[in-house]
Amino acid sequence: MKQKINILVVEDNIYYNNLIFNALQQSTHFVQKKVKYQLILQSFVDYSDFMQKIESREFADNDVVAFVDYNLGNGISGAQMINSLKKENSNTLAVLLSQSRTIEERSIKNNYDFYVIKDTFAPALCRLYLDQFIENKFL
Amino acid sequence: MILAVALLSATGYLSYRNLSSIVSSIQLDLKPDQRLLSIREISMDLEKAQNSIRIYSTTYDTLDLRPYYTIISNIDGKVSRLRSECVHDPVLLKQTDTISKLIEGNIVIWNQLLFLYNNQTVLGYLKQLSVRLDSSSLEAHRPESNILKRVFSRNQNRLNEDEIISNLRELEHQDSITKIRVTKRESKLAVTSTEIKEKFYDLITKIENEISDIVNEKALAADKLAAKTYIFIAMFSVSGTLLAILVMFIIVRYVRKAHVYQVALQSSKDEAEKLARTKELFMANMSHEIRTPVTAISGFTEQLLHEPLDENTTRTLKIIKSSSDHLGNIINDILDFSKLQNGKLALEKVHFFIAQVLEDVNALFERPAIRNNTRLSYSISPDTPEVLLGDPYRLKQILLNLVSNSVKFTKNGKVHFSVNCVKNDSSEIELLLEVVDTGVGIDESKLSLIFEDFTQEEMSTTRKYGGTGLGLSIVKKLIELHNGTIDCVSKKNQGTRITCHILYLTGNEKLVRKDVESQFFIPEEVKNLKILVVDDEEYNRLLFKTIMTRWQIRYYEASNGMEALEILKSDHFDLLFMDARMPGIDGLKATQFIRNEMNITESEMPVICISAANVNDDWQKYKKAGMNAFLPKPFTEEMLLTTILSVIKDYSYSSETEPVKEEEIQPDGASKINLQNLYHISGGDEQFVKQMLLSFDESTEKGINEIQEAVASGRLELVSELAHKMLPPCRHIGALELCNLLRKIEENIQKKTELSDLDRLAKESLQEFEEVSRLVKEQITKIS
Repeated sequence: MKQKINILVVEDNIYYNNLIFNALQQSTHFVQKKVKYQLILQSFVDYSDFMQKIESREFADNDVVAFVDYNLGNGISGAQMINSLKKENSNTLAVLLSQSRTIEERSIKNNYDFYVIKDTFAPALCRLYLDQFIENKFL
Repeated sequence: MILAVALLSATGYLSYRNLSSIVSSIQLDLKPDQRLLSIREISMDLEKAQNSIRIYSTTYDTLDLRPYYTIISNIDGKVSRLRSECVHDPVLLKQTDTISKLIEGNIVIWNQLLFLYNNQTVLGYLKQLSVRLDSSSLEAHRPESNILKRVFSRNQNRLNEDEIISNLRELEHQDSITKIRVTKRESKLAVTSTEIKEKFYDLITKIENEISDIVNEKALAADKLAAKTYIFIAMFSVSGTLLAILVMFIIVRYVRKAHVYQVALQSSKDEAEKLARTKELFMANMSHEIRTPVTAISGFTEQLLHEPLDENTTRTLKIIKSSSDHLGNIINDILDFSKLQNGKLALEKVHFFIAQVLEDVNALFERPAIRNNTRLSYSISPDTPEVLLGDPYRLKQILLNLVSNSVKFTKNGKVHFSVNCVKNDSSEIELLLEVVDTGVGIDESKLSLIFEDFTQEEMSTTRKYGGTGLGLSIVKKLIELHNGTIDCVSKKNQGTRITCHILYLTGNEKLVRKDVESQFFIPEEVKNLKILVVDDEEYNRLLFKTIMTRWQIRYYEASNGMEALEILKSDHFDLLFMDARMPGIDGLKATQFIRNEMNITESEMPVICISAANVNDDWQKYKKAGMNAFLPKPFTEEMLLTTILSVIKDYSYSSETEPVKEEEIQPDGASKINLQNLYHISGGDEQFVKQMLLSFDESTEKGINEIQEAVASGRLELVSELAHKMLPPCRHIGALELCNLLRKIEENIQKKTELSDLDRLAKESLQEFEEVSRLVKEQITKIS
């Protein structure tokens, strides 16, 4: 049975969501290995959809790499989402997308693995992170 | 298989033989029986001969006898031929003999008949004469016209006539007797002829029967042979089919087995490769894991030794330093061994002083030798060139291992190592390295084992003297890497002599690397540097920090690649130390990102790779990624300084250069948007750009309107959140004026400024967005 990996983008801004989603799609290793290792890329604009999936334990049994925005609107913090995700599945690697270092520092106690400041380089950095993750995992 | 082939061959051979027999038999049967032909010919000849005589008996023409005589003259030959043809058959031979006798008898009769026929001719003539005489006597009885004639001739004639008549009568009598004889002869001849014919017919019948029997026998035999042949052919076909099936089966089985073996082989190969990779990875990991704390121990000990300490502490620290260095050497040994085994160790080619190498080795073992009450000495032959071209580190490693062993195993004795030049052929030099000791020696039976991996003479040796048992194995492999030879002569309790022949090239004194130690001071240009160290190991960072703080260098650190990249986005550094192996993003990928995505050039910021693993083998890969130098862990201050100097001397740079600010990316100040990033990310996919612009326009319009509403309703927190949320997309498409306005809104809310200002900013944002939206729509139309 193929090893399944869920790659998730949780970003309420549709533009930035598309941007990150597209960047991840272009990851060399993702393109090459998505069939072999069943790499599933999903994006969520609405955090409630994402929560629903967590509650239905959709991500419970497989490795998860999540790119989560810090501010998901309506006062919902991405850091909370990451906590819920990690509680459900300890094999979760989370990258927090934040606006500024201030926010990153504020959420230092949260359970994310890396943070990426949402600037010009952010999509490429997310892609690079995914590339490295797949390389470390499978190659 | 062999049985099947043998069976097939046998049946094939038998079938072939039988078929050949049948064919030859048929060929023989097709030929007419020569004996039968001869008999028929003889029979016909006899018929002809008889006919010839019959005709003659009627015509009495001798010409008619010609065929007879021809046949008679040839008949013997034909009978002889028949005899020769029947010579193998005694019955037929007897018959032939009988025929021969009958023919002879027949010929005698025919000859007698001919004789009688000839006699009959005379008699016939005589008979004619008698008839004529009769007629003349009648004339004599007629009245004579001439009286005289009648008187004088009558008496004489009467006498002669009577006598002749009498004779004639006698002849007639004789003739009748002859006729009777001829008749008798003819009848006898007819009997004989019939007899001969019968004999002939008998003989022919017999021969024909015999031939028929033979033919039947042959047919029967042929039938049997054919039946046998059919069986053989059937057997041949069956065994052929069986063989074919067997061969097919064997081939299929072979192919299957081969496939299974191939799969197993491939699996084994994969497994072996996996194991090798695992081993390599394990070695790399282990070396990394062990070297990292060793680096810290050695480095910090070195740092502590710089402090003013009491003698006792200094001595203790020196022991710690020496022990950690020793541990480092063991790790190096293990790593080198692994690399030598995998053929991954490459020799350097640098110019070096050979005397320096020997002096270093001597200095290193001087004290241990004294502790063993052993005299350590070395020598270099005068004809050895002062400077060689090759790998001094590996030469030193060879000598270190050999001398270390000698010193270790020699108590109260002598250890001498020397270098002699055996051959100096233009540029190539053959060196003879000799290490001679008067130590415990090695048992002759164990001499062949000492160069094997993980081997020491006795297990107790390890306990008594320590060591990994890799030293000599590494030496041998290193010598082989130099295309040299190594030999060992030893006697138990008398000592050991190890000789190595090794090839080097003549070096150039001018090209010998200068030792930094002699001028160990921190140049001003180094002190002015602003350096970022990226390493996931805290104590490594601390070590860097300790050294660099002492060197008065502006030092910054990051614990992983991602963090480093985040720092580099907003700050400029003159030099970057990048650990090769880190969680998240490794040094290689991070450097690639710095060079390719962030466009920070090598001259702007050289990158020095730091790693506990030796990256020499992969250096090209690291270099290609944009790294400029390599600093192995553990490192000394001198190594660190040398590496820094090597890159800052290579690359001229200005420490005043500021990093390119994001805002400066905009190429055209007049333009409200900049789609360069978006196009870069899209990889040329215009439809993607279009889709992104549509989503930007839609989401930003929604956000801007929500801001207007929120400002109007005084929900400032929501305004701040909305503005904050809209910043990244706006920044991404280069709508920097809009970005500024949104940022100001956010700041104003944080600073709790007047609501009117906020309202103004919100309106300005709306106006700016309308302009941006117009441009975005223009772009969308262009793409459409």
